[in-house]
Amino acid sequence: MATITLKINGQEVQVEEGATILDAAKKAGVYIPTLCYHPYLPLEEACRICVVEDVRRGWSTLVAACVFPARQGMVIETDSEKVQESRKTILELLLSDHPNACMTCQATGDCELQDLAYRFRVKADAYPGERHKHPVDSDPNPYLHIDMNKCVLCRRCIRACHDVQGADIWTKVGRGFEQRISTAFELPLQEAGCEFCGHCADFCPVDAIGFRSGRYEMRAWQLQKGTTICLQCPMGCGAVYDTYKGKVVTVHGDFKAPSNTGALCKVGRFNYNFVNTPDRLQTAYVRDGSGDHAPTTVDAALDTAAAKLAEIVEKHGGAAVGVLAGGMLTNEEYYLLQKLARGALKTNNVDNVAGPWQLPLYEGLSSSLGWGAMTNPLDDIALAKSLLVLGSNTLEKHAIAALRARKAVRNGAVMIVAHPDRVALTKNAEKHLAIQPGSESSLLCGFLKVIVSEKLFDAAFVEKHTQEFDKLERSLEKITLKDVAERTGLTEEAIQDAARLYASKRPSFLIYGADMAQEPANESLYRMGAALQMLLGSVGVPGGGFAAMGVSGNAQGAADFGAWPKYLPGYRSVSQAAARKTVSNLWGVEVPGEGGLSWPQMFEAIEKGELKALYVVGVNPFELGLPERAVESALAKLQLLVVQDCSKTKAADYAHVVLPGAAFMEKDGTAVNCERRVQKLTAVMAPLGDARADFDLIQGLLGRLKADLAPADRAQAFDEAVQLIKDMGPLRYAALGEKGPCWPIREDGSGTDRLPLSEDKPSLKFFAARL
Amino acid sequence: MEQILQDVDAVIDQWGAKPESLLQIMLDVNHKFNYLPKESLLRISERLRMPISQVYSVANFFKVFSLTPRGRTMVQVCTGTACHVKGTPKLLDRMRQDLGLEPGQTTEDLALTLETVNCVGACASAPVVVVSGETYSEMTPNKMAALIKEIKAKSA
Repeated sequence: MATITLKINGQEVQVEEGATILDAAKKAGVYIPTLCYHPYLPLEEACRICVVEDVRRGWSTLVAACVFPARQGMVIETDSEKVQESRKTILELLLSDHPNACMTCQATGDCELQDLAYRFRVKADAYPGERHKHPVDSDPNPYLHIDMNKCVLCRRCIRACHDVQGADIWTKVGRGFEQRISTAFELPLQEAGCEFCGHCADFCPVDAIGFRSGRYEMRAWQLQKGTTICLQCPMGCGAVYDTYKGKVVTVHGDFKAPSNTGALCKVGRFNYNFVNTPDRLQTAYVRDGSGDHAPTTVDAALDTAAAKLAEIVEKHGGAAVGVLAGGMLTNEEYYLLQKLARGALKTNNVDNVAGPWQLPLYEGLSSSLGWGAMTNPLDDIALAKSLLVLGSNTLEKHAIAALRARKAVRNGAVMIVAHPDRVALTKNAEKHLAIQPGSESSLLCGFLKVIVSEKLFDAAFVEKHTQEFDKLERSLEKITLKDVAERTGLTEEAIQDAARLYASKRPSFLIYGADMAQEPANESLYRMGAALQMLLGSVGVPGGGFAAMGVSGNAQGAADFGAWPKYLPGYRSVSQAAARKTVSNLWGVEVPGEGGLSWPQMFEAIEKGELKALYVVGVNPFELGLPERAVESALAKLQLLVVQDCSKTKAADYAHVVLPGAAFMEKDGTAVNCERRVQKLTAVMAPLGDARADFDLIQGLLGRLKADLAPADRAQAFDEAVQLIKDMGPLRYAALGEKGPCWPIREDGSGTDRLPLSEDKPSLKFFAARL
Repeated sequence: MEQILQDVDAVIDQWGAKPESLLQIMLDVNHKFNYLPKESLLRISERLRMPISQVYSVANFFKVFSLTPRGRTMVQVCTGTACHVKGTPKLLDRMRQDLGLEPGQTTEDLALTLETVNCVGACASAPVVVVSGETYSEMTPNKMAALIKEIKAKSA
């Protein structure tokens, strides 16, 4: 691309062709004020506060720097009298219809208009005249506070709603002085279909659209900001937390984060009550002789828990103990937890809540593709030309994947959403297939059938990169579309049309989000998904891949670091002696060879009296979807229940020992998101009272049970674990920076974004399709 | 309701269900019903696969569109300087008094919609009222009342 040289305030700057004057000024370090402009939104040119003087021979003109392209030989003045005057007038006109009630405004101290008015020393009453009188707090929703009197019509909210979220709720209505930001038919947000992602409030430069939380309780400068990774779903979004006195006030998207680039979902944005709740555990409890919970020090509680665990292992063997972790732990915590189970408690009965859903994902994909996780980064979804979305209500459970899919649709892709309900994403879809719940696997089978029998696949890709196509072909001969139609509840024609549509444009992206509300899929679903993508030549290419996503925030890390019964860290099978030996050698203790129980099996084993002790970390067993009675009865049967959580759950009532843990934003450590990105978490505040991060508590237990197994700190735990995880081998805790790499990690520490395809020999494998 | 949607579908089919046809479709629908019923906008949004917020925004932008039902006859009262001086406010007062009608509003029987315009270029005959393209000169409140009576009678 050609380079352009221009002069800004007498200083020469070189920029690429296509850059704006503002880009050039930034490069030259020259300040130009902006208001409607935002680096992460499309350009709008609504406010003109960024005017600069474009000096030509003998005359000059004012242009908007944020949109005006830089040209060769341009002479720009950003601070001339003409510019100063013009900016001042623009600001004064803006203020002439602004409440100027900064004293009581929530945005004070964090308001772009206020900052500009201050900087340019404008008078608020330079132009007395008519002012708008919109109702204050005009929308009854529980999340956002709307006061359109403060609106400066920058339209960032409209752009954020369209370009970031793709919900298209906000729009501009009316003309001239009557122009305002509104929803269609002036409906309240909820009725207008708002998804409450909060992006509009995040981008609003003033307080026209603001957050309700913290309003009239604290000012902007009292908030402490901290950036970490949200672990509430497997997207692994970077999130900036505003905290005040140990409570989360507001959450913002981190623009620098690779998976979400500033976006957040409703859950990440507004679900932090589990941190702010008055039920937070601030001290440890041990059940005394009378059966009551007596508060005690954390160390004393750890002593009790360790002694009782050792006693049960001594008496009944490791098989009588189970360890169950939640979905929001760090890698180091998962690693330590399974080390505790296998190394100290002599059992493979260790699982995380997401385990049963992650297992078929890993086994299905690793056998088909060579690695058992998502094939591409999330960003790639936006490059797809056709999309098939299955499984969870994507906008709620795996929001970033849904946002990227919407972006692809805006760029001309076709999307098919298969879900029993008309979920919000269907409004952007070309087709909605209202399938029977749980029939995703059958639908994929139907797609394979149509694409193979009508020869819609990429024969060259199949020839070059895949093996055992005949196996798939033969298995499909036995399956009829009629069977598929019966299972899915669709007509044969609908399946044919959808499959043809999906195959008509490439690259294509298959999005499947697992859902805890549904039974785990079997590995055949993942193999058929992989097969579909292989047929379409859409694996490991930009815009073509399989977004297979688990059910919890660090489901990928839990699997990678071995916190499940079937595999040791690095997917080393427990049933293989050689794998056990590698781990045993590293740890210096024998790893048990007896198979472990998944968490649903653990509850069955408790019921049967086989499992006598349970250590629960960061999960409420009453929220696992099991019948409440069954959980009550199981917990009551245990000889020892150790509950470690950040708040007092119902399970704590049944516990013999309660340990006060921390929430994910109070932790340091690492996590792996669904796109295999190893990211660093940095605590944004300290755990409350005596509470400690789960790592410290697990380490305390491990130290008491088998001191030589306990690593000194998180870094040591991580660096030890990656010795067992081939794909992460070269990673070091201390070297992990702001933007984590995606595993497999190369020798130089860089990541691998997409599944590599071998040029020499076929690396992908078909399996028989199953209805 | 069903009839409205059928009519809207016919218009969309004529122009093609694509965003480029939005204005033409809206003009035809507006012409057909003399306003844009809410259901028609929802249908257009759905079939053109455009966000309803965008469709609504366009409907709001152009003066030719109305989102509320309009009368069969348009009564435009000039509020230009000359007309204003020569008594337009009195004409509007009479409308308010007789029919409870503010500028921009429509009578309940949909007979007429009262509108103000800013100058029709007939200042010599001020104050003027334009009804369906025909200009009425040197209006007085009484003449205005008679004119409205006539329109309502014709409409019934």
